[in-house]
Amino acid sequence: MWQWFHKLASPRWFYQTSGKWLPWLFFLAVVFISLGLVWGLGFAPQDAKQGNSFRIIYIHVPSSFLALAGYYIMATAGAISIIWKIKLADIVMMSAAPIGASFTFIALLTGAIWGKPTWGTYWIWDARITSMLILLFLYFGVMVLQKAYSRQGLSNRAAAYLALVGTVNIPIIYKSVDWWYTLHQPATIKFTEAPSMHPDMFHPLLVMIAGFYLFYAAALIFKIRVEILHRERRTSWVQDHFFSKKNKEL
Amino acid sequence: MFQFGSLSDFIYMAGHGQYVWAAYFISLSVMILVLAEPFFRRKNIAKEINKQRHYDPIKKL
Amino acid sequence: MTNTGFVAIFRRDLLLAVRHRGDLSNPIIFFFIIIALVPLGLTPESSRLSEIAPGMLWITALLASLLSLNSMFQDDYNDGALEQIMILPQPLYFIVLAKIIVHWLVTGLPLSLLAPVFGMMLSLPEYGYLPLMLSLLIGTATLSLLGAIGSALTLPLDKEGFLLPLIVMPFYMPILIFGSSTVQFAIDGLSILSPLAVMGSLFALFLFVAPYVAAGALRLSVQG
Repeated sequence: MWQWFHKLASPRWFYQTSGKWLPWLFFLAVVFISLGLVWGLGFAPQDAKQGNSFRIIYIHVPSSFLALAGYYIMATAGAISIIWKIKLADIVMMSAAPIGASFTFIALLTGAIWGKPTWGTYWIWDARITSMLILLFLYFGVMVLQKAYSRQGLSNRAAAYLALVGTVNIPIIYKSVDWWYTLHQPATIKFTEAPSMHPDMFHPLLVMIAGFYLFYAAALIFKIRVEILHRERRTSWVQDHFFSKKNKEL
Repeated sequence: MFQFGSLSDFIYMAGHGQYVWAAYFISLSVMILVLAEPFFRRKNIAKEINKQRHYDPIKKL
Repeated sequence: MTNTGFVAIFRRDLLLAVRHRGDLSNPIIFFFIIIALVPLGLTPESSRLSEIAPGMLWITALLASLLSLNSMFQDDYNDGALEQIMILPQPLYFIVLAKIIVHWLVTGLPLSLLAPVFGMMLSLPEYGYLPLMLSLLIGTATLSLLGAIGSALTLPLDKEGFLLPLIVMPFYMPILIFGSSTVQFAIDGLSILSPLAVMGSLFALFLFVAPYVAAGALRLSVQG
């Protein structure tokens, strides 16, 4: 059993195994996202109050889910790296950070653009946007710390500590921002009126959420593979991999 | 069924078109960038490896 | 018990801090400067000042705490004393805790005690003074704890001055929210028990967690 566990931790094994699944993952992601896009943009009914700007939800909600999920994936990888000292976990964490930050950025951006026709302003300090902004700072902190020390291993370890403390703090941050916001704003327009969303609006959202998760997985695995190639670029298996590719082209 | 009468209706979206399309365009561009970065990085690694290979013709295949 | 390391470091740091009296007054001077700038930048009107006073006082306390974080580990790190301290047989948790306590005694505590003066300068209603002090006492302690983590993580990276604020800010924000709410509640005539209780539980949580994480981070930092 430990053999399997150690195999799991081998970058080369990961590279070779993930290579078989990655194209399928990409394919599925593209299918789901395309379906969700077409459905949400063209076929879902518009919202009674917000009109067509409501369609931004199909990007805003999935990306905010992934922003949060991505942080937990990153922190979990960090924890695994600290506890079991597995290099691959370090690589997962390094790769997850910028992808998660990108989704956080997308969530904030789409939220802001959505705000203009809805509330007349691009930026509004409501609970969700504010929490998401703080999440972006958390990501930035981890990303910068990952490059900061002289040795990559130390940087990864420091970033893992930060990510873990951040994990403890995320519920605190969300709850406190929520509390703060309800103190100052009696009535709010929530972005997802999920219980009152018509199924015709809700179903494409499900498709997009699935598509985004698939996309995240594919992008993460892709990034991990390239980082593995970079770290192992002097080994024979990587050299052969590229050299034989070049020969094929010739 | 399709919610819009014509293509121009689809683009205009009753006045909200600029917001919807801007949001979608920027988001999808970021997602493509997320994929592009490792893609180009891998190309660089390949280039670097193949350059090294030419300096070491003795290296075993 | 394992007290000797704790007591020794506590005494040493306190002595060092007291000897550098100039550094001691830095957070307080900073506070005065900001408080003086606020009416100049906004308005001298009492009624408007008192509206923003709770938040402004808390933000300034937060920034003052942030600025003073370097004193916790940086000097010892720079002259190599930190590595020697870390070899002490006592658990690093207590040693770090000693340093955090001294930091708070020297920055957070004076700030909290002087808070009514600053409050008066910003037209804070008088019944806000005690809640301000209480929230600052607990809050600055928590800020010191959280700051220790950030400070320990960024020790070798002193040149990149922005890194510490960037890392520490998200953790400071809930403290700010509940701290200023405590004062605001008092002004609005509500009970301060609930935000104060949250402040207390955050303090308790980080009293437990922060020295551990900071100790781990210190071990990383001394390796470069």
